[in-house]
This record gives sequence, C-alpha cells and structure tokens, in this order.
Amino acid sequence: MLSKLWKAILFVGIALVFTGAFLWSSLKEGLGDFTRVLYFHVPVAWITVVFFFMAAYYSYRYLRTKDILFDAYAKISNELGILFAIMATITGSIWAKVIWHSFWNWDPRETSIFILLLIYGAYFSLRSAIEQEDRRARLAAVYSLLAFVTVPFFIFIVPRIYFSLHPDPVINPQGKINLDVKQRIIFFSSLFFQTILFLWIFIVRKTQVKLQMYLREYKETKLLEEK
Amino acid sequence: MNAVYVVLIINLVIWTGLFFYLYKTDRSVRQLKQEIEDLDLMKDSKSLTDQN
Repeated sequence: MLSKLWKAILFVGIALVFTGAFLWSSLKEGLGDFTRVLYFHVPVAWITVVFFFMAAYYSYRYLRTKDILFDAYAKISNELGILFAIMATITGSIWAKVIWHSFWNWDPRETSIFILLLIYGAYFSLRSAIEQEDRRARLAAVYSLLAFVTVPFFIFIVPRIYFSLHPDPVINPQGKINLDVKQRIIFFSSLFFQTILFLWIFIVRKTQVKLQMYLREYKETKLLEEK
Repeated sequence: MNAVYVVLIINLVIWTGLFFYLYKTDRSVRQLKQEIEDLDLMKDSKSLTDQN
C-alpha cells in the first residue's frame, strides 16, 4: 500500500516538475529556453555524486565484513553512478553546443567529468580482469574507495579554481542561490523527486542482485547434494 | 528547431530510457521471486528481501 502511494506521489511529482519546467518556469538571462536544462542536468550530476558516495560506503562495508553482498551493492552503485555521469555529460554537451557552439571545449568541468568517467570506467576493467571472487571484491573495494577521494576534487574544487565558461553553479562561490522563486520551486522539487526515483531504482537493483545470489547459492547447494 | 523542443526531446528520451530500465529490472525481480516461490523457498527469501 505504502509502496503504491509512493509510486503515485512520484509520478504526480515528476509530471508536475516537467510541466513546471516547460510551461511555468521563468528564463535566465543569457540562457533563454536552455534554462530548463538546469532542472534535469544538475539533479543528475548530484545523483552521480550520491551513487559514487554509496559505492565508497558499500566498499568500506565489504572491507569490514567481507560479505560479498556489499561488493555487489558497490558494483551497482558504481554502475548507476557512471550511467548518471554519462547522462550529465550528454545533457551538458548538448547545452554547450547551443551556447558555446561546440559539443566539447575541454572546459574545466568537462575535463573533470571526463577524468571521472575514465577513473570509474577503470573500476569495471579491474573487475573484469580478476576471476577469483574474493580477490576481485577486495581490490575493487579498495579502488572504489580511492576513486571516491577524487570525486570532491574533480566535481567541486577544480571547476572553482580554474576559469570556466560553465555558468555559476546553482550555489555559487559566494554561497548565494542564483535562482528566482519560480526557478527555486521547480529546481528543488526536481532534485527531490529525482533523488527519490533514483534511490528506488537502486533498491530494485539491490533486490534483484540479492535474489540472484540467493538463487545461485541454492542451485549450487542442490547440485552438491545431488552429487 | 526551437530550443525548447530540443530540451524537451532530450529529456523525454532520457526519462523514457530510465523508466524502461526500471520496468525491466522490476520485471526481472518479479520473475526471480516467482522462480524462488516455485522452488518453495519463499519463506526464506522473504526474510532476505525484507532486510532492504
């Protein structure tokens, strides 16, 4: 019942965000209709950071407990994190094409996300290179923790140190939010509903992996018993 | 093409993809639960999923 209620609230919330973004939102000077990208691009970038953090958290839990389930959760978090990083890159580069007349400019923000994609891409290369389950999980957990150390540096520090064509982040270096009332309402609603939706995706994936592992273990035990 | 339509199309494509992914994953979970139920193991697996 609660689950159905949440789904209904999410559906209505996301429909309202879409309607607000395209029909109600005021436009920022210099951005015009591309102000609307803000309501989708920024939350996706935020969720990327959340997933990379969750990957680091589950990697830490794995190293503490050696429970292989935590390794699987860390892998899911990194998969989703990289998916959302790609989405942030795509929405950002389409925006760049219109505003800067080029899809890619090696701007500090673009360079940062590119390096992050390489770092997290290497996580999956590392996993696929090791066959032994325990060793793979241990090395991947250590790598994931080290990779997360670079996230705040590339997402929050580098773009603020170097000159960037990228518009001021929503919360600029002076700590002020550069949005009017309408934009704030749509932006924070979008951030809230998208975060809930993506956490829901994560929970469904977690359940899927858990059941797959359970079934695999059951079949292996059954096979052994039959032998 | 008007800029607003470009933004709308990009977002619709992304969101459709996300909902499709969620739908596929959710369907896979239901199938797995069914498979476990068929194996008469639901009692144990329920405690597993409840830990979420």
